[in-house]
Amino acid sequence: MDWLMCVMMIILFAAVLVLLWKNYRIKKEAKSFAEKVEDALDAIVTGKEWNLEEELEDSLWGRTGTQLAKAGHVFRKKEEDGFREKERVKGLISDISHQTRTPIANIKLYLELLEDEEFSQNGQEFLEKIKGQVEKIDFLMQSMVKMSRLETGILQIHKEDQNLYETIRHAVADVVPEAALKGIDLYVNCEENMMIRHDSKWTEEAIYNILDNALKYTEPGGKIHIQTERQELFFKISISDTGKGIAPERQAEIFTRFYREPEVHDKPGVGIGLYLARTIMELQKGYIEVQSEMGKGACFRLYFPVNES
Amino acid sequence: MLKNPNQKVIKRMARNALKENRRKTITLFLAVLLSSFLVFTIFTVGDSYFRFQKIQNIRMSGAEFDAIMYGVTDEQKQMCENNPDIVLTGTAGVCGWVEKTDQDSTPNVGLIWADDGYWTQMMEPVREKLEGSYPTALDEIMVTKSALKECGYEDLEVGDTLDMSYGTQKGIFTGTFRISGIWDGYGPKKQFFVSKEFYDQSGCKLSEASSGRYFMDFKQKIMTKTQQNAFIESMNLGKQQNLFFMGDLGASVQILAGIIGLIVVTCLCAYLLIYNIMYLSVAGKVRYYGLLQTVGMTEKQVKKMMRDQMFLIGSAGTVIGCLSGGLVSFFLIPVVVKSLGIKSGYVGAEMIRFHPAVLLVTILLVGVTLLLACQKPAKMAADISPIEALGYRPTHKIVKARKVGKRKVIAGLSLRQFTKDKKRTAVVLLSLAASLSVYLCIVTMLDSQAARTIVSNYMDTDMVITNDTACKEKSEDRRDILDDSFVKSIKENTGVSEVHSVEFAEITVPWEPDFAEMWMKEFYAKWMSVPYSQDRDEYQNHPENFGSSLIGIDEQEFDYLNNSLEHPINKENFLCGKACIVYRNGLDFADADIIGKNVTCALYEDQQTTKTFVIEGVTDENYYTALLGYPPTIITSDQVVNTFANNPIRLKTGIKYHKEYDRDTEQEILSLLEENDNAKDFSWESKIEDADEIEKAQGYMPQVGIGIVLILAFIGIMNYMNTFVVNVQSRMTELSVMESIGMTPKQLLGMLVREGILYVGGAWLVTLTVGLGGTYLLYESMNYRGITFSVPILPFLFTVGISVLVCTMIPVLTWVILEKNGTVVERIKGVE
Amino acid sequence: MEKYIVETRNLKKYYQMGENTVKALDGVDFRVKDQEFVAIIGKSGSGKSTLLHMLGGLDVPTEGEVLVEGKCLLGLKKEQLAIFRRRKIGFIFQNYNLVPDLNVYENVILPVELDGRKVDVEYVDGILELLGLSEKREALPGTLSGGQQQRAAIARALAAKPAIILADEPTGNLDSVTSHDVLGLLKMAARQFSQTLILITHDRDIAQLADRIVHIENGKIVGDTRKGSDSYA
Repeated sequence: MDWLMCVMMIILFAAVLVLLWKNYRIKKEAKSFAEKVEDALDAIVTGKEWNLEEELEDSLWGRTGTQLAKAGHVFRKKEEDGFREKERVKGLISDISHQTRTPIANIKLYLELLEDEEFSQNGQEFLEKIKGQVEKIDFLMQSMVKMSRLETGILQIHKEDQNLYETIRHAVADVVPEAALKGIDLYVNCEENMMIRHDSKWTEEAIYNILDNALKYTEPGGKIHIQTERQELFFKISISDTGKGIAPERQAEIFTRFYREPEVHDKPGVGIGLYLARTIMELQKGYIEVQSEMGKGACFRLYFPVNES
Repeated sequence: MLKNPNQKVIKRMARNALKENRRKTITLFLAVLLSSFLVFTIFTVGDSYFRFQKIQNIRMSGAEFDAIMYGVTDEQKQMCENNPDIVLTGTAGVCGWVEKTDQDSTPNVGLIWADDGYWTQMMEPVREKLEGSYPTALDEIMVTKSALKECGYEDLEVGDTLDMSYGTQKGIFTGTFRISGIWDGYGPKKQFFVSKEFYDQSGCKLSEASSGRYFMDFKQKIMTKTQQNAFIESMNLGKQQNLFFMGDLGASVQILAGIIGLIVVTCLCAYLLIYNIMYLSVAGKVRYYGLLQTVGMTEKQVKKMMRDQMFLIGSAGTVIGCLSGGLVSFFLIPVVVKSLGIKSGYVGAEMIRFHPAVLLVTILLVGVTLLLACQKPAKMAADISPIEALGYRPTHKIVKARKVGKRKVIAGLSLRQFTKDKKRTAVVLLSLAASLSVYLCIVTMLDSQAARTIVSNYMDTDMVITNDTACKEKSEDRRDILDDSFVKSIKENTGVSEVHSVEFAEITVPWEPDFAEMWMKEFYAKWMSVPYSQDRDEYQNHPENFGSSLIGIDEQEFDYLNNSLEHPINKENFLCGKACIVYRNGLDFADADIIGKNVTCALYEDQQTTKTFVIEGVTDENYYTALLGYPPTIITSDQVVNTFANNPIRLKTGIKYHKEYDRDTEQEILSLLEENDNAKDFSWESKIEDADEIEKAQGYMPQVGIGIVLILAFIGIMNYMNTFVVNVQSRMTELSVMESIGMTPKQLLGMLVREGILYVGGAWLVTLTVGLGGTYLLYESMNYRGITFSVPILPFLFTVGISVLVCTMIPVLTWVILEKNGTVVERIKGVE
Repeated sequence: MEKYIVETRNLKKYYQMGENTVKALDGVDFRVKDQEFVAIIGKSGSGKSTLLHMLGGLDVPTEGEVLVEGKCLLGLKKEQLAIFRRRKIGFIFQNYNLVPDLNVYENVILPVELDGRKVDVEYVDGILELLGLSEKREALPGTLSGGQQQRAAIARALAAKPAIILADEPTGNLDSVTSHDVLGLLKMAARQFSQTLILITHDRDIAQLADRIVHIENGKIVGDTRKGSDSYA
């Protein structure tokens, strides 16, 4: 019976060894499996090309991998579909704005012609109102075109090494008349030579929009400061006003499309300026932020990346 | 690589397939069950046999050892103790006997001393009871109840005392002994074990062959003759010393071979059946397997599915097979083991035990058989191309255009069917032939068992009658009762062909310095404990105290004896009394030592009448011995004895019948013996009686053999049946078409019967060539008497009849059952 | 270069039928774009079924090659082909080819189970519901009508959500109303799971539903008409 015991012991021992080894293998393989799944998910998420070599293997990874590949494939298809859908909507907007431009121009022309006619007091008043509304529609349409073009990437941001001072100057020049009219003092405190990679045309638009916004919410006699500062990573333009400020809970909202402060509904504007400014900054890989306290004015800061290839 | 856990569906499909094809499943299950049953039973019986044999050997010899040496010197003891091959040694010393006690004047009890190795270790397995301890003091003894009974003191217990007179080499003494212990068990029991002190005082020496017993237990349990002889050689035995090895491997090897042979055939049959069923099932389901592959089942999965089926059937079959095997073994073992030569006194049925290794080996063997059997069909299933599934209709290989001969159409059809799938046909033939061969083999072996193995009578005579008075010590008690008239009456019996008598006369061999001196010297050295020098004077002066015998044989017996001699002698010289043959009597003489010497003998009653022979031959045949004296036994012709001696006595008469085993003649001779006045003084040895004895010893062997054959035959027939059912099924359309164009049912059945006959014919062809050849080889290997090989004709014819019946009825029955499935038209359309 | 999900190059398949060589396919160059819905039409014996079998890796071409997702099927082992089929291809056979000893539901989920995947029970139930087989889930194929078997075969092809569905006369045994429903189901599933659908039909009406109709005659492509891209309408 001794040898039988011996054989049993050996078998038992061997079984334990095999189990341990299997356990080790399974752990190792589970790890490698997880890694493969992660690689695949990475590839799917980033849209990279990804080839499954074990596609025709009867293994767990072969099976899961094939399913992942299928999922990736469907994702991509869905993405493409969505993209195409967006394109279509964009086309639609651009078509609408394009198609409405001529009628608006015509309306404007006819309004000018009408101004030469005699009207009653009321008639004159209504005419003025119509003129205002037409201007508004025109502005809205143009803004929307701009917006959609920017968003859809139809309008590309062309970044070049340019003197940011020039860009700021152009933007400030655009608001000077209105500031003068409203009795607001503008202070510009910048270096004269600031070569930064940026798109001057769109950056000017962004700065203009912020200045325009500042003028809108600053009472006559207020002040607007423009300051630049070179930091380690970013180049900063601060535009601060002495207006009524922005409530903290609204600070995030002001950059969204068609947002308007509730108190200023009577003032002209469609609430698109800040949204555009932010989009422009983002497209240039920079960002925009606001700091404000109620009644103490607001300070918008535009950041441009300094070292950007 | 982590495996894809997609086994579940495969398992389920395997189960499903088994459920769907119930007939196939049951057949496979039965095949596995029966083969595992057979394998398990055969192994268990074999294991029990060998175990029983070992136990019996140990119990019969009274201790566990492999070799015994008579007489041992300290030097030899040392050698054995240093020998790394010897695990254990034990010593015992015979040192006297119990002469008489107050209760019994003739107690037959020996005195023996055993050392610790022998008593505590070697005797341990045979002892069943032990009270007290081994004697340490001079007057202590260890006894058994039966030895006590012999002395008439059955009721004594440990601590009691016993008065007895005992004998040692030094003489007869009386003494009182205290019983230090009582034991009981197996082996020689009429002995008192005594203390070492007693032995030392008895005057016996271990180095004497008459006293010293040295037991050796070897590490190596199976030793060849050469190894044994080499060991004996190395021991440098003295003249009287002897060394014997216990185990005789002969019979065990044969039984082992038989067991292995049966198991191989069983596995082969199971293999063939399983293979064939799986093969047929795959061949008939090409579409199914192709289909599974179009849906995406891989080759591995197909194989796995097949293996799963096998596993399910295999595990169920093996479990039930082993269980029933165990149950049957329980009843079978006592019967079979007894037939194989185990005596019931030493081992009992309660010792049956199921060795786990047997179970393991059975499972392994059946498992491997299953795996091998389904290997090929599984591969076949996996190799099916999926495209075959799309348009598959079971078609057979394209058969080459056949010559239009004059052969009859129906016969041709049968033959074509038989040869169409040669492999399948071969498998079925082999399967049938295997069972038939085993049947043939078992029947032949059992039938010839007696004839082959009886070696009882010298010269192969049917009966030897011996005159029991011839060897009485006192010459006046001797009577020549086998007289001429009696021998004549035997001769007159019509059934008797030859009668040979052996004559005997008592002689002395007077001392002479050459041969007689040499002989006696050697004789004393070999057999006597007293030295020759002590008796030499007496021999020289009183040769009449050293009687011996002169044996006379007739011419035919001389021819027979002469043939067996190493150096045949001149017949003329022998017949005329010049030359003689001497019985060697176990002495260490080479032929050359004796041949050529002269031997002189004198009549016992008349010392002056002498005769001198030249010794020309030496024999070891003890048939020609009467009174074995110290001087040589001389064999000469019966004529010489009759003329030389005054009143020779007929010692024995050998009778040969015309027909071997002629019971009628035997009966007549026996009645002759009984009618004779001296009936009591005859003894006889009859070949027929010996044969009956052997037949009796076979016990239930024939039934067991037939049982095995039946199981194998069942497997073979299942194989055949399965083949035919599938065969007829797949040809249903063909057969129905034939019926529709005018083949009568009779013709159709005739065709099927012909096919069956082809199968049975083929199977018998294989059986009669391969099977018979194997049987013949086996027969010859166990044919100790050169009996002509013959197959018992009745069982043979019976089996031929049965097999033909079975093989022809199965196709017919299959057709009859399947035919009920509908009209001819339905059947033609029925096959998909 | 545009990527094709299925592509054949100079595909030939010849059979030896006694003395004659039958050219089932004789140099077919055939490309299918991802998510395309192609109908193959032609007379019986024109080689359309052979082409379909080739695309599914069931048959081996005499000459030429078949590429699926850029991979050549010719180099694949039998084992790989089987895995390829159960993971990528959904077959709908003309003669259904349902496994006889499995019931409808088991048949439908067989390819998924063979792959060891979890069965999307809701989806499969949905398909069975749509195909009107809910009542017959437990039925064995032998007890079903031809149309029901056909629908079970369709359900099986869809259950594994394969990349390519190859259908050989999938509506051959269905009435015209059911035919259109089934085609609708196939198209819908193809859209939902970005599948490519190649089907053989002799029904012009059904062929009209496809993006593209390929006409095979005597083992050769004799016509290939593409409808205007309306798949996003």
